[in-house]
Amino acid sequence: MLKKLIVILLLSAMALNLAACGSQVTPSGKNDLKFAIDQEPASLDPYMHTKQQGFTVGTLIFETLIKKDKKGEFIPWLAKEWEFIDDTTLIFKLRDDVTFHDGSKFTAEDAVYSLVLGATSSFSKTVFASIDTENTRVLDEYTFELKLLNPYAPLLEALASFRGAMLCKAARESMGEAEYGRAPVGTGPMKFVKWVSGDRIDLEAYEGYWGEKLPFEKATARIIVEANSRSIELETGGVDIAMELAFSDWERIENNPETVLISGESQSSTFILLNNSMEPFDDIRVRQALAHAIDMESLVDIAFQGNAEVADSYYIPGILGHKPVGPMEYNPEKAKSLLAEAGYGDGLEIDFYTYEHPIHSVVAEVLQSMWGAVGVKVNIVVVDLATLTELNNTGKVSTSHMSPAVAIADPDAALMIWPTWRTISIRHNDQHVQDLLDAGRASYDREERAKIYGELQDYLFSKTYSIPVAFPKAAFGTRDYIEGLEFSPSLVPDMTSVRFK
Amino acid sequence: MLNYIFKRILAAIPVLLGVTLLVFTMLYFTEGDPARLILGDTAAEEEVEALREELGLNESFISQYISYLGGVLKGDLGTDYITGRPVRDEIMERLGTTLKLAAASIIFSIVIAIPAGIISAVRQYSLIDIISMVIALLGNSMPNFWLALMLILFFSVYLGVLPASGLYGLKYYIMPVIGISAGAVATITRMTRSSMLEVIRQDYIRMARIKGQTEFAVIVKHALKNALIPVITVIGIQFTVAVGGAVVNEQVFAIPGLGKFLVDAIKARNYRVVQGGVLVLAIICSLVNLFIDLLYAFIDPRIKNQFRESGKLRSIRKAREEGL
Repeated sequence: MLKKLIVILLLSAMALNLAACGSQVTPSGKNDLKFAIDQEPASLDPYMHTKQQGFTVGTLIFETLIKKDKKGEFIPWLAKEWEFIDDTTLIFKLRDDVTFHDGSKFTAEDAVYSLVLGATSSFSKTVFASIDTENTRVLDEYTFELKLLNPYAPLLEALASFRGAMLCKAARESMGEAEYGRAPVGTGPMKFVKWVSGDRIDLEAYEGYWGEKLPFEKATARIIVEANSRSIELETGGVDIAMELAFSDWERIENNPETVLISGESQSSTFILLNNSMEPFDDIRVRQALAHAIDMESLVDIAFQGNAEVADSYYIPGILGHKPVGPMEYNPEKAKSLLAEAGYGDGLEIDFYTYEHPIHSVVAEVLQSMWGAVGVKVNIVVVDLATLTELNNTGKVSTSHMSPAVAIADPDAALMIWPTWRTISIRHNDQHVQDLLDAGRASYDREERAKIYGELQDYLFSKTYSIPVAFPKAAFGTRDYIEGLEFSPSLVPDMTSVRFK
Repeated sequence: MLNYIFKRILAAIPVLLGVTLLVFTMLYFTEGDPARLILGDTAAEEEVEALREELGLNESFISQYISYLGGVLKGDLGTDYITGRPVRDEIMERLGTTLKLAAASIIFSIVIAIPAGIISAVRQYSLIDIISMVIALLGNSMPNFWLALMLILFFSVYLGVLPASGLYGLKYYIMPVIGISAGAVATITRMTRSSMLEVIRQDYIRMARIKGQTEFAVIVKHALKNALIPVITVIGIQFTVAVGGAVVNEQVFAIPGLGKFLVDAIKARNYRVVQGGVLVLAIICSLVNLFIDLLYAFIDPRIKNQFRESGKLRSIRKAREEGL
């Protein structure tokens, strides 16, 4: 009797074990992915917002016509081939086996609809404004002609980025743009399930996906705004991946055997804005004096706690045509003599605008000290970000520290603050800058583009219209069983690359 | 009683109108352009201007306010500038979480604070009294965010027994409830103690003891009932504080509540969300105050009688009392 009982118990235990093994998709036992984002997206419709958090979730839901491989080459994705007919005309041939999450076919109608939307939406115009919305047309069910208003070299980069996602025309038109942004329909490997405001966005695997299935059946993007809470959730296993970790948490995540820190240089750069239309910054001697008065190594070290490189130019080295031109030599004596030459030998008083931000506030204080040493009295004006944005765009900011996000990894996007029509307070009004920007944008020859942008960086440095400060690093953390996820300078990692060990 | 409730609701209408006007005016004259904030620094001025026009931000103050008020009277709180969704839906999605958390915090505060206050008063200057008062002082002095982070550090990181954030089940409530109620526990304990100390020195308490009532009956039946009026007032205030002021805890514990939503809306100059959120909070405050007033009646028979009397009778009684 006892023997029988033991046998039954052993068999039961084995059966339970087998059942448990059956439910494990990977050795780590995971078949769902939980990742923490640092802000709630306003929308998931890629043409209705500009926030990286929405794009990160979107990498699982939406797909693009083309992609970029690890070598930086453009490869087919939803488009199986494309051809430049001339500088302003491209023909795209689409895959015929792609369906949206609602089961409808992905066709040329959807592609044209998405690109025209990209060219007209205020959120994506900066990237797609060159698309000729009237003449871009469907040729047949899976072929379309993309027309440009003028030659636009960053086009493929834009189409391969998360900004160029393909939407479902029928779903968006029937749902309306607000509702579509709230419950999007894409062609990606995961489909939208639920959005709990302020809390999380749930996704599940799309059974009809045309490509390779992901190793997880569910994905949840948790909205955890507080940086400390995000890293603690990662450390305690509440999430598998945490985006945008605070500098102060990096060391802890790196030293924890159960977590991995993935860091790198982001594609944004920070700079000191000088209002070139305002006295005394309309005088190049004053601008150069201010640049010479900054010990940039120390400034970057203090403000970014060692997590940034001193900016040697106007955009990061990873982007085409980057040319090291700076930083300006630290020379307080030269700064004083330039100020004296400009008529400010007895001193100068300026306002430096900032807002409550752990880095920007420190930059303001360090500059106050460094510029103070050469006789420039700095009044730090602290306002909230909304006020600063309005003052900046109405030309009322004299000096400030800025770190604008860069939409795509292309010099045209990286230099987006420089067109003369921009409203921010830099206001250089220099036509030569605009001409070089136009020339770089229009040339499809990479070498020629690199040369043009090199010339532009030299020119900007010689004019000192702004003072480049830093190329900040950023990091996200993962649990040790996550692999495949790579750092993305855009801070929008491709979530479809996540695998479990 | 119903007459009283009706009058109180009527009296709340001008208060709520005042709230809408005040918030609308403050936001209208605050610097920061919602259209520019939505589109960012890279958008051209024409695009920003077009969005401003679309959002109705170029209308005059009066026209904007009247249009807003017209919508409110029809139950439409406007559209969220950023998400394009109805503000009413956005608020309702978060209000439930905030109310649940506030209610849980207040219940927890009452369960802890009232017994602690009674014991402290009955055993004045004893060790228990001193410990209670020190804890109350700490509860009042500790910054909310610090306490929240310490709770996470201890219970989630070191002990690993509680989840660090979110609100997906009963155990998720434990730390946020402690975090939110720390101040309320302290305040209610101190108020119960001082109110009880005042009451237990009254002659009728002495009389109850002389009549041979047990100490428990004297304290709970005779003293506590009379000491509760100021305590209930404080509980009402603490509830409204928990509803409107849980911003820090919502942020630290990643709870999708109304407080954090409103703070984000202020930063983004999301006018309609701020206006709608403040209006809803004002309605909640009015209802809580009304509920507290009605609660008085159940505790104090003198107040209950006032509700029962008609206005005429009350004025006759008042005149008689004054005559005496």
